[in-house]
Amino acid sequence: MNHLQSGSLKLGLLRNQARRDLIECLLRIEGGKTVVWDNSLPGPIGLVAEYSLLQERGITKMYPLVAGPLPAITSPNVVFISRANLSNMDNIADNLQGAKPDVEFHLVFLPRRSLICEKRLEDLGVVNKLKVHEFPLDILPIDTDLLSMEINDSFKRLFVDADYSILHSVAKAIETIQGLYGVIPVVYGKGELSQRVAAMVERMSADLTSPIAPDIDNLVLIDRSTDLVTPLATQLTYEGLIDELYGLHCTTVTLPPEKFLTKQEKDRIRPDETPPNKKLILNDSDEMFGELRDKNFHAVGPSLSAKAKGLTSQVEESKSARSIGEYKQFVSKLPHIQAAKAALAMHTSVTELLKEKVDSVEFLEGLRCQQEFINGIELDRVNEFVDDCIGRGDPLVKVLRLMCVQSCCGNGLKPKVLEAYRSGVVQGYGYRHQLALERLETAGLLVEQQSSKTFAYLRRYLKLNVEDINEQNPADISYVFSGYAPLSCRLLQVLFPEGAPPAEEVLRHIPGPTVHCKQTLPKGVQPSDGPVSKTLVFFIGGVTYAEIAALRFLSQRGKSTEFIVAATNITNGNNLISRLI
Amino acid sequence: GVPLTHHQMQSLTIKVVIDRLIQRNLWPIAARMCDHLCIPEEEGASRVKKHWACWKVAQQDSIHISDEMLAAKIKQKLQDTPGISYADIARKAIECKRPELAYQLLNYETRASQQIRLLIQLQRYNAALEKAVANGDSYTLYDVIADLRDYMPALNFQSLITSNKKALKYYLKYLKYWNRDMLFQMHGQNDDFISQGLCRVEDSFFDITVENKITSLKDAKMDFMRGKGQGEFLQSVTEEQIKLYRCQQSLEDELRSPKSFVGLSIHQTIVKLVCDGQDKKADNVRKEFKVPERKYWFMMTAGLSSKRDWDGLEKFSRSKKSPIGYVPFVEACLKYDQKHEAEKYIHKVPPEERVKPYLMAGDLEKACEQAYVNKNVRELIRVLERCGTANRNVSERIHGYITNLQ
Repeated sequence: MNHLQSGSLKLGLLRNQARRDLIECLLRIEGGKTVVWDNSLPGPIGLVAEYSLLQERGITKMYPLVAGPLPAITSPNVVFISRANLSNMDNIADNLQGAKPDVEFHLVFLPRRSLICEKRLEDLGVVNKLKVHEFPLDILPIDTDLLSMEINDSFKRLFVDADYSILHSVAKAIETIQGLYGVIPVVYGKGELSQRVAAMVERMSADLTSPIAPDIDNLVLIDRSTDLVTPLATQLTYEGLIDELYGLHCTTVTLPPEKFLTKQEKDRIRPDETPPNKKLILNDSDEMFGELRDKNFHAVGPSLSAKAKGLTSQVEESKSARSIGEYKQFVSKLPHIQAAKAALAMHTSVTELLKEKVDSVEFLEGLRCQQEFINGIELDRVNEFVDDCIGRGDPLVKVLRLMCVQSCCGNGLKPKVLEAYRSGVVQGYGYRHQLALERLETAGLLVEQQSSKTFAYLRRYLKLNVEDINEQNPADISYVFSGYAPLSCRLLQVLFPEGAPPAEEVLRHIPGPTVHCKQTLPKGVQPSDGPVSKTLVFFIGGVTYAEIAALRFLSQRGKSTEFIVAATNITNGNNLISRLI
Repeated sequence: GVPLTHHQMQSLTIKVVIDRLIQRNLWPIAARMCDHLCIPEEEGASRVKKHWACWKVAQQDSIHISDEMLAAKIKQKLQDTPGISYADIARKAIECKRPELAYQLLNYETRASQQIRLLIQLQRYNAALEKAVANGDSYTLYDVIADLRDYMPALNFQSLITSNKKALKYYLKYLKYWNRDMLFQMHGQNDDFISQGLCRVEDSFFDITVENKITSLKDAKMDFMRGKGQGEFLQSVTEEQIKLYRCQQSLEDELRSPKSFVGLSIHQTIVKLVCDGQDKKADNVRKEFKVPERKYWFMMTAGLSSKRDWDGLEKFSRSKKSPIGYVPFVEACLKYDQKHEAEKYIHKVPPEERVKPYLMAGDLEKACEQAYVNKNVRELIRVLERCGTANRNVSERIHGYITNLQ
């Protein structure tokens, strides 16, 4: 995990602080500990502290938090580590039934305690058996330029439940970042939620007195509701597709095993046995992944071929080695070549897996339907392809996703179209989904048309639809969706033009409140004057890998600013919709 | 001045000396002493100034200027000093029976929890609620709402919470976990009939018998009728669902298969009927719920193929010109690995559209030939992308075709 120090912002600092906080929290509990984890946590915690480190701090065994009684406990303490949600509280109460009196039980809330949860424990009669602690891990580094709060249901909580406590956590996360990297001098933002967060951040910054010179020059807060089209569109970068099709969580993905088994492994499998799934860790420490991840999927195959050829020629070269010196050189390169070969094999298998789905008729037809909507084609009527998907009984998430794209691209649907779609869903999938339709409406994803067609205007003003894109050698960020530049990223591109000062007027073209303020720096601290500025972009409500790829593209190409991305969570269209239904 | 020997000062300690100066109301000297001794502002100057402020508050002769101005004057004197607790000064004002002054002073307090606690004590419930909402920390907000509910008479609490839209949302969420009946009542009191109706709909899914479900939905329908806007759509959809439950119940009775239809959607009901060989009943459901023809053809295809009735499927496909084309038939056959059957339907697909079904069937050679006959380079490329190392002869052929066409 040392690669975290290699980015322009040394995120290793943040990770180390989180690690210290975790250890401090655990050390407050004396003696050996059995830990019971909320199942959303091992991923994030694994990024902060390795298992061996936890073992050194007295953790003897670990179990997932599920219903039912606990297995036999051998240590003097049992520590539940959990996010504040009610179903976890129910499971904990279940676990505490028949608790042995000689074991001490602790509950660590991450990141903060919750009155509702503690009341629930009170109602279930177990609150007196537990000692309550907090582990305030608000945000953690996922990669050298990426931070996430891993709040996977943030979109629903913010835009359906209006649960603004997340905004408080976002402000606290920014406070943590400012505590390590200095108060950020300039703040921009778009959207009502950004406005609220900006106000909280300003208040908290006033209390930061330590004189750290600011490492980050700008903060941009983006409320997800200012760009709903982008997370709904199907991502076409290598990393984006892995997430869309198989789910990438805290840099880990689980894949079907067949393509990763060697011939001998395949022969050894008995007929009644199913081989276990293949788990892969994909982040910047894998060099090849670093090169492939942000490419458009069509450029990945040719890249892999080129690498294969490169490796083959390196091996060939060795055969022509004459002197001892040349042999020595080759032998020293050998481990690197072996590693590269292994990585090549792995990524080739992953690409084959993705290709099977990407080349399928269902995928291509769905993609074409989406792209037509994003290009503004026929938004005013019931789309026959969508209707047929309902008729065929295609997965509900797929159908709803397409309807939402149509709605968001047209700033809503015509009343007759909306009614036809709603009836279609109820008739095809069942009455209970009508509640899902209500939620999609509350979230602004599937609504009746409002008067102004903002997305159509922004499409033209910001040139979001780009033709003749070169997927192998892209010249513009629209390559991440093969022809659509993500609105959020284009906005940032225009906000920070090359070789010119920031242009905040662009923010006013997008509906919703705008934030633009300068924070007072602590006494004696000056803003930095380096050649390239750093901008922290915080997506409130979720960010996609495609947007991250687009921002990396801008960072590498442009001479304006380097982007570091932070978000409440990393998401994709299927996740977004499925959590609402 | 106060004469003091060095020895005395040492035995008393600096803190005590400053305290004695403060108690004699000698604030300027005390402040200058703190400054001179470089005592940090939070410990030294702020104590001095706070004491002065509390004294000022207790002064009766300052009644002739308004409380607002007095508070502003105090703020002016104190504003450069960090670590001032306006909450403490406000507490003093409360002690001196000057609640308005206390309220004015609280406006300057930055720590929300302190501010809110005292606002509740001052019975400024509205302000307390506003501040709690603005603070954003839901832990505090639920705490405050619970406190307000305890302190205020019920009716006043109701009207307060309903007047603050954001607080209301939190309260309703709180009630959802705690007290669904109360939640229901709240919706009623807010004339939010749609939400009431939706509550009933949610409950109906937990009802066990169909009769109970129907009763819940009938009540929900009444609620939706009173709501405006989306009420209309919800009303008609609920009406249809009541009709569907009744229809499904009678199907279960007639076919003597309990618990097999209730809960399915209209489409799923029809597909199941076709799959069970009940074509006539399926057609009745179609008529009753005015299912459009396109959708019905999809359902027939799904139903017939799932019971592997290939002859039946073929007969159906010939009954009239298919409104959905023949590709869905190909898909249905391929779903059950009936490649031979699928091919029959591919022949019925017009040539310009045949490449897609050939690709679905994995027939790359035929797809390639068809694309060539169609003179469609794009389709040829599509087929090419599907060619792996096993189909090298096909991909070579395609390269040749593409060159011919260009």
